[in-house]
Amino acid sequence: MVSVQYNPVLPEVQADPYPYYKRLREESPVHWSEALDAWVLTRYDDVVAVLRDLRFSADRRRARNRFVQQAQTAAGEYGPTARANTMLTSDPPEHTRMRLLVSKAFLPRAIERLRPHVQNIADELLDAAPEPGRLDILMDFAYPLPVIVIAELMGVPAEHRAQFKRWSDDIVATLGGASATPQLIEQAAKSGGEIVDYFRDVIADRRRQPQDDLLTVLVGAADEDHALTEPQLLATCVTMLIAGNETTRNLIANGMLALLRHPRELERLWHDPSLVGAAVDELLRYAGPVQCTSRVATEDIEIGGKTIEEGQLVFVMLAAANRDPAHFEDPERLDIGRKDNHHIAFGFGVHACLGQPLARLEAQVAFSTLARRVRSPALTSDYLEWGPSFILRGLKSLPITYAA
Amino acid sequence: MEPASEAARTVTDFVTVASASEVGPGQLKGVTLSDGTHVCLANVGGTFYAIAGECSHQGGPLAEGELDGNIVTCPWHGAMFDVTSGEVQGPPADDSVAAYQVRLRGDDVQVAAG
Repeated sequence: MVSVQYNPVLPEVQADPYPYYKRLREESPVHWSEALDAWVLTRYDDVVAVLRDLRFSADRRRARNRFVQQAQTAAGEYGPTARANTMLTSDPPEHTRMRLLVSKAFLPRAIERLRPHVQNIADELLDAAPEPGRLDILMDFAYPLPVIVIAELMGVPAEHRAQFKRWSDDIVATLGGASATPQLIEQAAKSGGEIVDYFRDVIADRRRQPQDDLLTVLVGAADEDHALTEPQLLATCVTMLIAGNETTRNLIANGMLALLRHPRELERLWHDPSLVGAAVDELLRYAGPVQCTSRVATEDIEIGGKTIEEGQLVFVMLAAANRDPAHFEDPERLDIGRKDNHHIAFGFGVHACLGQPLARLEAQVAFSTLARRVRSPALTSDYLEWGPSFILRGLKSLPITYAA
Repeated sequence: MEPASEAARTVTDFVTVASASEVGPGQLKGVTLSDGTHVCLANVGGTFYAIAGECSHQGGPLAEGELDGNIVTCPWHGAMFDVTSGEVQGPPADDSVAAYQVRLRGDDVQVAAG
């Protein structure tokens, strides 16, 4: 038997990573990947154990990993912001303070109030689709919907969304390092610089004229409470903008692709949109937009008979854990009515996704709107192009036809 | 449910749940009352507080979470609560949790059992 090797950058892995996850889970659940210069964990219990164990730090800057070091030297003018601690890269107690600054805005009840507005946006996007009977689910629908919502929440003009997408795509392309060519790294640094300049201007504007938006809250936290340094303030803005659009975009598009490839499940949802709540959680489990997250061991820690050394980087594969047969019955099956779906697509532990109520709301509105308005959808091509990131997995486009 | 009024109603029986010396400042401890209620005890700078032991989201064990200042973060999905009031501070939880009256008698930490 050839021992399993994991290199997520290979196109065949990117197109369908799940068979590789299965082999890793079965044959090498605590796996050293030369391609990533890091450990790769694929079993649910191991993933949850790491995410609950604060000896594994979220501060990836301290990792002994050649890509982390490479990214830090390549960041250029974007460096101070890229190196600033955000709620994604800090540990308690600093993490708690930063998360608290914005957490109340994401309480489910506060988010639920946005539903009619998100519904209007979804309907307007379909109204504006360029050609009857044809739709690019990604470009016409899945991409603009969440970026409009997060832009409005933060308080930046949604009309700038094409720029936000480009900056966000460029920065995300190099995450995790292994897929980062010199050209992509240069592009990420350039876009990083541009997005920081953009937010510097918006922040200056909020200092002159406070508004009723999240940016004003963050500026207040930095200026009055000194809870954020200037680079942290900028980095938090960048993080929220990227987290608020890239992930939900991919949830909607990856989820729609999964449904198109399982026509019976699609029919089930299209006939009974009341299933949308469970369906969105099943799509999160089955076709999650965030394949993995990472941690750094702060001391030598043994897992599954292997020793993770202090300073080593660990990728915990959420998408693999979500198909672990030890926790999910018939895990390779898409079942939009699945019960007891305790997936960890939003992560687990103190860093579990802050925006999950918003992501669920947006995806539920998206799929119920598609079910109502896009009848008999069909893929126009079997060839699909995936973006370069193995962490945030997403399509470049998803063209379909439907009965207009 | 308002945590404050919950606390106001439960003023009668105090039961000893821990000794002060076993829960240092910044620490949490999970205790179970005789009726089976799980309580999360918190020491914030020498003052003790008690809230429900289970997160209002999916029942995560709050006493196994992180206490920073007066905020506890659930170890399961990151929901946040103020241990002094039980008030929810962050998603995915939506509801506040019960807060219990606490008093110190010597080294005994006592919680109002209601």
